[in-house]
Amino acid sequence: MYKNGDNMIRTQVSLDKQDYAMARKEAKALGISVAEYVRRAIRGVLPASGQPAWMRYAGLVESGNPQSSRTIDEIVYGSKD
Amino acid sequence: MKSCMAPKTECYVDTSALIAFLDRSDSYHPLFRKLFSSPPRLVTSALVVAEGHGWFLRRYDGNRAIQFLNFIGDLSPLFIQGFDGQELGKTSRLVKRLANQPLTLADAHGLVIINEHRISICWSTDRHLGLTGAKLVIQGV
Repeated sequence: MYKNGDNMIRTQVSLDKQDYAMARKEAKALGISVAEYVRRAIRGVLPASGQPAWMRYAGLVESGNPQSSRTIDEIVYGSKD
Repeated sequence: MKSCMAPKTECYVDTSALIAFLDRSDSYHPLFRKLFSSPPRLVTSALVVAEGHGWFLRRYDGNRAIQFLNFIGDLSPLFIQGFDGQELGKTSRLVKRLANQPLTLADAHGLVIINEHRISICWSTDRHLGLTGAKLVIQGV
């Protein structure tokens, strides 16, 4: 890892074949490089600066169920109401 | 009007609030995302932590369940009330008193804590947590 003149740190990342192929395809669709695609992906998962540590977990999952918080008992106990 | 964002207000947090914050599909996610970004002192039951862990375990897998525990560990404003024999006694009495309500032990322990801490605002999307008079934050307190 070393620093470029433009305030960027250069690093190497190993990706498996399938992930690389998908990243390349998505990057091409967006008209950006794979490197930029990876940078954006990392920015998307990092907590915003100045936010408390637990905020990194906000929206951790996407169940697809807008009633998710009102159907917990059905998942945990089977059913209640 | 009392606000849950006020620094000295202690609010009770139940499983539904935690899931609404963690699941971006939930319709209350934006509200709880905002609330958790600047929380007051929070209190919950150890049974809520068990329930949340169980939700992730059954809905997803062990890795997600561990991430849930990591979230709880990072949530420093949260005080977790343990559940021992004495708490079981108090909670059992409440369950029997409200036998007409389909309360889980976690819900009932929450109501016990709300009463003992004189908490007036509850972070929950579950109407059962309002049974003894606490206002649910989704009602716009």
